Amino acid sequence: MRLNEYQTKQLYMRYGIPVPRGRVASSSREVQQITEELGGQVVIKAQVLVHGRGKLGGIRVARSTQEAEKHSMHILGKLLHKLPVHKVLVDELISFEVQYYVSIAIDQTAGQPRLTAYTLVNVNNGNGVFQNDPVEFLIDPLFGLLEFQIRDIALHLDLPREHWGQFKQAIQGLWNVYWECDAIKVESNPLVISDDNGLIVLDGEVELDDKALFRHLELAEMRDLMSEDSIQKEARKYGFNFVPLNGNIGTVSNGAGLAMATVDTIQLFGGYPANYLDTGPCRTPGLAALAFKLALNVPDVSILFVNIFGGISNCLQVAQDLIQVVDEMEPATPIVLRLSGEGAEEAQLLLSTINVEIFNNFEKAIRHVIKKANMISEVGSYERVH
Amino acid sequence: MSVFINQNTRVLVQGITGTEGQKLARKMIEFGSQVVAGVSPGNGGGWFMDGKIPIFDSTHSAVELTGANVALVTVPARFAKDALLECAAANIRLVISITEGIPLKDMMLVKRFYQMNGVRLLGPSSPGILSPGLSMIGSFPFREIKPGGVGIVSRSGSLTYEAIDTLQAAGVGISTCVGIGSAPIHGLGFIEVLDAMQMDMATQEIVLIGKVGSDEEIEALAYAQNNILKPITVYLYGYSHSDKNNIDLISDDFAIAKTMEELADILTIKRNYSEISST
Repeated sequence: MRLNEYQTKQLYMRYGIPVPRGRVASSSREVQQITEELGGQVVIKAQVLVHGRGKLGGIRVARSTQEAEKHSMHILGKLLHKLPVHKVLVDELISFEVQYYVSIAIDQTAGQPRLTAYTLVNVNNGNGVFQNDPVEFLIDPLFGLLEFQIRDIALHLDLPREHWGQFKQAIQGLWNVYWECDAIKVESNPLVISDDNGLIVLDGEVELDDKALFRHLELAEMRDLMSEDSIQKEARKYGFNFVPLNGNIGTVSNGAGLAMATVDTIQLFGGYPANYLDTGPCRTPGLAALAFKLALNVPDVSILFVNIFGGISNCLQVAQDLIQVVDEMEPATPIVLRLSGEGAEEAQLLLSTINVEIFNNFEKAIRHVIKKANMISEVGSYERVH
Repeated sequence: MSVFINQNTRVLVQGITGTEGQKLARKMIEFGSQVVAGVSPGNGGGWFMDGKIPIFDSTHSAVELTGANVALVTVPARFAKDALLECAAANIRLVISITEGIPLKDMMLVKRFYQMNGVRLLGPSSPGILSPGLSMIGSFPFREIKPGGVGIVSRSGSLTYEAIDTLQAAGVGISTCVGIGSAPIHGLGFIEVLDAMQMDMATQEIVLIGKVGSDEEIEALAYAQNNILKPITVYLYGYSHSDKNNIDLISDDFAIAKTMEELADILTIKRNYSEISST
């Protein structure tokens, strides 16, 4: 789960990381007011979870209250990568010479956090940045980030000595956010030496481990619900992994590998998957039912393909859930299943009472589904994802 | 011969009183595994399956009294760190974690502790490990599996099942099947398992099932090019999820299967070929 910039800065402040003075606003009146409080020179930044907000016109500098009002009217309500801007962050304008990038993110292969830092050098009047060779190292999770490591970064970045104390505090703060909040990534981009305030983080990003949110209920509430559509929200609620894919064959599978292989094979054989949906282990009654409803509601789905290999999941439970959904929704969408493994035979027997097609063989099932899907939808009206 | 487990493997099930633990323990016994102990804090002194398997409060005493040397950990994600560390502290040498959704921070600490103590970990999110006729630890939905010369190492649990199913239907037998687990941070990786399969007499060739564009797979295949002499057939999944493509790097050195049936074809054609050439 990613935090918005204003939430990131609130968190950073709590951990002693210096950030600009500023507040979040949802109307241009508020923006005007905050601009006055901050002395008239501000940066107005759209609070949506997309990368490259600046290039998309979501970040603007205002040197007067009138300008701030004008910019905020432009940004609020704007769509950035299809996401509407409902909030802007109004920060005091900071001028600076040198800027640095510092991040701590998980290195999956090593199974340890990795810190990366480098100096950013402005080129082309601020239109592009060039990075110096980075300093990079793993942090031992048993000991955390050590002081000598922070000094090493400062030396590598050629950070002026008078800022070492502040630097130590900021980087230690970043590490504490990373470790104590169960983050998978914390970033300060950029960290600058301002003309008068010393060291300060102008922008940052925090991504939290969804699996650890149960021990950070306060942070869990910071989720930006605007950044997901309703189907994605539903999927997350039930612990499914869901990705929309623009085709016409809806899919439901158990296990990430099988779900990806299902989508891969549909594409390989010339079909167009509408979505990727991994239910995870399906043993609780009703869980598979939620997955079916979700996939049937994906726009443009003209056929539903259910691919289950029972193991920890049980095909019989999946079949019972499917019957419940068919009774409840009476979907017009044809349903094809491929069932194998735990409970497959019992499931097949149970499903003989309703109008669905069942296969044991993965590839035969997919070939059949594609043929059927092509008969229903006009061929060629869907774009392949890759 | 086999990889990591054999006929002397004595299995302990952590979380044996849970629904999942009970089901898995029964299946493993049906398969012929020696399940010698269960651990369930608060339920020590009890028995599982009519006095057959003793239940202990602590993993340490279970190991001391039953000689268990492999543990299956089935406890829920939020208690998994403690359970996994307890196994390593109790001198278990191989631990299988099937739990999904363990926080990454917990896994960083667990992995580090296991590395320090030289304990092997499969998972989390691993289906387990099996060697037909010898032992099965984990969750494999098959009544019986024909032994043979093909070793399987896989990141994905569900595709491990697919591979076993398709290969068995094509008459291809399995030496050992190892699920390294689909969790982002897991214990043993592809390289350690490939090395073990290289040394295993029963394994004649290897099937590697991994994710497209994943660093670990790319490193493992680069390693295998120079270090693994047994033939490897690769099945990768996630083409629709990745812009990175590691298949171009490897296509000359390994057989690539795009579907499970292709995998079976490659292995049966090879096998027939070797049978013909050896007569």
